[in-house]
Parts: sequence; structure tokens; C-alpha cells
Amino acid sequence: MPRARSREDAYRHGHVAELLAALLLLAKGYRLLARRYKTPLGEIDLVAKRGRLVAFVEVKARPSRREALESVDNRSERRIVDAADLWLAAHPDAAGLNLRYDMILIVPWRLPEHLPDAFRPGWDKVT
Amino acid sequence: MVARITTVAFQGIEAVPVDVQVLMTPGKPVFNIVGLPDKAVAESRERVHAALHASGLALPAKRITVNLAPADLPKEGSHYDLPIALGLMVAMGAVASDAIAEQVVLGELSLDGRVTAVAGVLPAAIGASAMGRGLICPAPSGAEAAWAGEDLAVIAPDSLIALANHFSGHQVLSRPQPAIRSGADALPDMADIKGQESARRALEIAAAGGHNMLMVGPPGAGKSMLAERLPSILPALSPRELLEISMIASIAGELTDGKLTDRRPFRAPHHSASMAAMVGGGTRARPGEVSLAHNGVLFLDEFPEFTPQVLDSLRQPLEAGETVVARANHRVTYPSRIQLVAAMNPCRCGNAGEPGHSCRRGPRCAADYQARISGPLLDRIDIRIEVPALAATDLIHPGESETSAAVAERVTAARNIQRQRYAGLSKVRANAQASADIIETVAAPERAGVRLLEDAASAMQLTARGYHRVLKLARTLADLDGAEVVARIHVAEALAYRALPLELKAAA
Repeated sequence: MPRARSREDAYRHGHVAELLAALLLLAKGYRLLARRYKTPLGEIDLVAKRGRLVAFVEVKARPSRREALESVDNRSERRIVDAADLWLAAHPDAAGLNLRYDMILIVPWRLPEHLPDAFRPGWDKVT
Repeated sequence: MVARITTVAFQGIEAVPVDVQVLMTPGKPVFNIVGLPDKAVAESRERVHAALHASGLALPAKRITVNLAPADLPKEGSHYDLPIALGLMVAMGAVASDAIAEQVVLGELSLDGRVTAVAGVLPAAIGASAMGRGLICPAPSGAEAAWAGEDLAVIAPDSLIALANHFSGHQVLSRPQPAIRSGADALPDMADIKGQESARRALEIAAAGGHNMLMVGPPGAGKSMLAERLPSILPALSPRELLEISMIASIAGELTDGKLTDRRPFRAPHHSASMAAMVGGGTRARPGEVSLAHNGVLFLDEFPEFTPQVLDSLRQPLEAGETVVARANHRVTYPSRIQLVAAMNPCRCGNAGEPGHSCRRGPRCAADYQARISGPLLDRIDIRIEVPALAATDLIHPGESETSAAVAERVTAARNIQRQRYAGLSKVRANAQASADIIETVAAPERAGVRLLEDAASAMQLTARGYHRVLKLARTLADLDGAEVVARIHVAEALAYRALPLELKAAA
């Protein structure tokens, strides 16, 4: 899969990656609650539920695994977390569940990789 | 479910129980420590996280709250790492909660999961023993904890994994053995002192009764040398005294390898010492030099060079035998029953009063210099002696000097008499510590002595405290002689030590 150049390509490319990621989650027994959840503060690629766990999943498609891993910095973490907060506000039933922030890496010629618990936003905050 | 672990906070040398409560609930994954933690405690989050990770345990993605109760007591120090980590392990189900129910836990974690030494293990062990619980402490401090008593169960793991294995029964840890650091390095000996017969005698009396002492003399007369030899003639520590000084040393983090020392402390702070360094305190309350010298000697060289506030802060410890440090968020008491030994030059240039010496600035120099020591402080010093410069003949043809062992024998004999005399009184161990009413009964002099004391009291304008201090000193002199009753000669010698030498010098 060559790296998408144009904006249109990137959009389509992202869609394909998300589709793959969603299939992976379904295969793992998750149920999808939302896709491309857009809020004023940011966007969540996938919201999935399994048992008493809600996972907010960021899908990253990059030419190499390393680039994919490095692509989520503090700012984008912040956006995902803020968007998740807004999603939670709209779904009060989920407040009593375990929450987790995951990543799915989509890399050419490799199987999609699921990283559960990829980051913990409240963890590095020093009181 | 809330996992609970008991640990301690230190107030003075008391260990106050602290409950570590760990709660894991669903929700956003955060890790908070509440309950007035200071910086070192708040940072324990990172150490605990890393140490658990290194031990093969990942913290679940849950909302984790750690509460240190009572919540209004400030928590200081790094010893909360191990109880917090254990609480998390219980909450995760890695350790059974009944395994740690009857334990007091303290220890610091390193990032690789090892448990490292902390200060204050001995007081914590004694506290645990009083609560009827066992103790879990770092392996390097195990020997220290074992001193708290035979019946105290001590587990001293060197890593989190070792502790987990101990609980699961895979590899049970044995109880550490108490260790003592015996006097391998010899103390300086009295035999090294050439001449200075009167100073040697004064030192012996000071040791025999625990009296405070001031030495005045020109530079190079051997004042510091004399003071350094005082510990070598002091009586051996009783087990209780040993425990007291070890508790303070433990709180201050001055015990190495968890070994107690059987030496009486000898502290010689520099004259630039601040008040917090001298009596204890600071934002984190720590024992000061007076407390570290508890049951031992506090030697202040260049006495007038200390700031007046620092010197006068010694008045309370000298009188009460303990130091109370009151701060905005602390009020702690440290024991500080010390023997003060001070040394000073008679004036700034150091040679006032020497034969053939005349100071450019005249007698004012000496008077000003000596006035830096306040009257109330001076009043608390029983023995004031002059240490003159040594004559060259003393160095070239030294007489035979007694060894410390010989002097210590007489001192110990005198102290044994005192121990029997004050057997019923827990706080009094030597004449110098006896209260006024006790000393009036035990040191009542014979008739000639009373008359002399009456004359002297009016002539020397003795204060009430001064009067009793003369009696105490006379009692010590009688004890050294093995005399039942304080005789006139003892009173006379005691008065002589009190009279010298400041006023005399000021007139010179």
C-alpha cells in the first residue's frame, strides 16, 4: 500500500484502515458503539465495547510500525481524551464501566495490530 | 473493595499509625494519592508503578485512589512506597489480604522492584510491637528492626518479588538478626594528654556526674583534645539508653547497615550551625544536634562564635532534657539529655590573661567577647575551668599520664552509686539531672559545708539554680570519693569550679 499523497487519497486510505480495524475488533468479540465520532474537541475513530469494558480506539495507518506508534503525541492524546469525555457525557450508562484507550496500527504487508491500553491520560499528571 | 495496609508516620521519635487505603473502581484510568502527601510521597506513584511493572505486575486500567489516613496529618518521606505497592497488590489480588492484615509496612522502592533502606525503621518496629503487629521493612534495615524485641515478627524482603514469594510460601524469609557495630576504631585516649592535670580532673568530674563544662584557654592549650577524650571515660550505655539514641539516629537516617552503635554520641557542630540544625526542626522536622547528642556529649568549640539565638535555644534542652519543636504544622518533641562541653578563648585574639601578654584593645576586648554568652546559659554550666597554655617542659618531659581505662573505672564506680540512688526515678540517671528537691535531700552537706555554702551563696550571688548546681557538683565529688555525706571539702571544690574564670578574666 503506497503512501497516500492527495487529501482525497488520504481520506479513502483512512477509511480502508478503519474498516480493517473495525473488522479486527469484531473478530476479537467487541461490539462497535460508534465510528468516526466527531466532537468540537476532537474525533474518536472507533468506540467499542466488550463486557464491562469500553475502549476508545485510535486507528493509525502509516508506512511503518514505528511511524504509526510515534504518530500519537500528547496533543492528539488530549484530543482523543476530550472527545471521549464528550462521548461519555452523551452516554451516561457507560460511566460505570472500565474505560480504556487503545490503538490499532495498520501497516502495509502486516496484520493489523491492536494495542490495548496504549496510553493512560491521567497517569503522568503530577499532582 | 478497599485494600488496607498499616504503615507509620513519624512525629518526633514516635511512630503514629497511618492507614493506606487503596481503591480500584471502573472509570477513567487515573492514579491519585491523597491525604496530605509531600513531594516525595506524591512521587512514589511513579516508583510504585515502575517497581510493579519490573515485578511483572501491570496496574489495571482503572481509577485507582490511594488515601493515606488520617488525612489531616502531613505525610513525609519515601517509606510509603512499599505499603502503597502492597495495597495495590492486594487490590489486584496478587497478595491475600489476610497475609498483611497484622503487619506494619514501610520501605522505599527502586524502579527495578527492589526494596531500599529508609530512615526510622527502629521507631516503626517499636511502634509495631506496641500495636501487637508484625513488621515488614527493607532488607538492609532488618537488623535494626530486630532490636525492637524477640517477639516482634520481622519480614525483611529485598524485593517485591521476594515478598510475594514469602506470602505464597515459595520462599519463606527468615527473621533478621540484630546487629551491633562494636568499637572497632579505638576512641582517643586520655593518656595522650600531656600535663593539664586540673583539666583532667575536671573532665573526670564532668563524666562522673554528667555535668556541663566550659573550658577557657588560649589557642593550642588542648581544649578540643580534652573534649574529644570525654567519651572514652564515660560509662557504658545501658540497654535503654542504647535504644533511645538509636531511635533518634534511626529517625535522622544515621544508622548504617541497620547496625546500632554502642558508643555514646559525641557531636561537635561547627559554630556556623543554624538554630534548626542545633535544636531540630525545619520544614521537615528532623532532630538537631542536641538530640543527636542525647545521652552523650555536645561539644561546642569556639563557644562565643555561635550566634546568640542558637546558644540560647540550648537553654530549654539543658534544663528539661528534651526539645520541643513547634512549627505551623508540627509540634514534635525530641529527647535531648545532653552533657554540654564548651570551649572558648578568653578574648578574640585568644591570649588575654597569659603572663606577659598585653592586648592592644585592653580589657574591653575580653569583656566584650565573654559577654556574648548570656548569663542564663552560663548559669547552667557547673564546671568552668581555665586551661592554660602548656609549658614547653610539659611536652619535653611529660609525666606519666593515666589511661582512659583507669579514669573510666572511677567514673563508673561513681555512676553506679548514682544509679542505685536514683533507681526509682526513670528520668534521672546522674547527679546533674536530679531535680532541686531530690538533690536537697541526697546532697545535704555536713554542718561545716552548709556554713561555707551560705557564705559563698551571698558572696558569689548564686541564683537558686546556681545553688542547686553547686550541690549537685558537690554530690558528684563526694561520689567520686565514695563518701556517704557531702563534706566541706566537696562543697569548696564545687564552688571553685563555679567561680572560675570569667569574671576574673574580665578584670585582668
